Amino acid sequence: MKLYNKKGLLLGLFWFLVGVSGLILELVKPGNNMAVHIRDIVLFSLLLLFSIRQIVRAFSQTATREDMVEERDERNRFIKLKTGSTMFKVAEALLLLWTIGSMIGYGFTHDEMWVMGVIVAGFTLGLLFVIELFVGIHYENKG
Amino acid sequence: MKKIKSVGAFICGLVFMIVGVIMLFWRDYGTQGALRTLLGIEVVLVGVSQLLGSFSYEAVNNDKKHPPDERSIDIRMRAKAWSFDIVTWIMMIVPPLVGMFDAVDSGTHAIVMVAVYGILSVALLIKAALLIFYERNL
Repeated sequence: MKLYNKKGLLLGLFWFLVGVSGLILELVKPGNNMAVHIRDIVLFSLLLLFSIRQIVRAFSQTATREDMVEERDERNRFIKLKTGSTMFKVAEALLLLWTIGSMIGYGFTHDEMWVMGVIVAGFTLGLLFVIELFVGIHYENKG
Repeated sequence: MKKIKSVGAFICGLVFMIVGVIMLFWRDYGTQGALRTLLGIEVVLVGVSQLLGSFSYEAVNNDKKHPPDERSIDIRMRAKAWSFDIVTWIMMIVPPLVGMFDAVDSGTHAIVMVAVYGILSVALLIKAALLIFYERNL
């Protein structure tokens, strides 16, 4: 058996590990809520099936070629980049609105749950900016 | 020093980082303490982003004076797209990890889960809609 897609195999193995460890954890240490227990088992099983499919595809020449053609297509890449960059702007606006809304909520109610909202939204916003700068500097230096 | 594109942003970043670190050392117990610690981390993050920005031409460039060229637009688009993707991955992974290690009590965990997956589901829904829109129009 020859390996054609290293990246696909690594990703598949990663998800396989997550799925297996999640399933083992669910079976060894089940929670009190039966519905949550069943839901988690179903979700981890689906993840496991998805990862196995990805691992199998990594060994198939035709599937790898299909993936490569899809991945290298200029138009597809441009659409992905354009969507990602627009999403960044949308997320930025939504998170900012959420932060301001939570601040106003805290001002009216003095409930600590609103502070949690500010922190979650603020932290995500901060991460977005820092990673954007890192990637920007990387591409600037790349030439 | 040559690599610094904006001394003002560099100093500003340093100040933010110092203020954030001071907030991190100003510890307290209970919810107030935990919130202050998180706020400290956020202030440090703002400082780091300012500091990093001072090294980036794109981050400190005045677009009115020097309008962005093709390369600048491409770099900015890539940076935004990658940043969004990476944060999405981090957000997907954080709640299960927090739950797995029992880092917070179940009430807080539930709030964090709802908040994080709430943002994620809305974001992914908009992303799917945008993908369809661009596929039809580009």
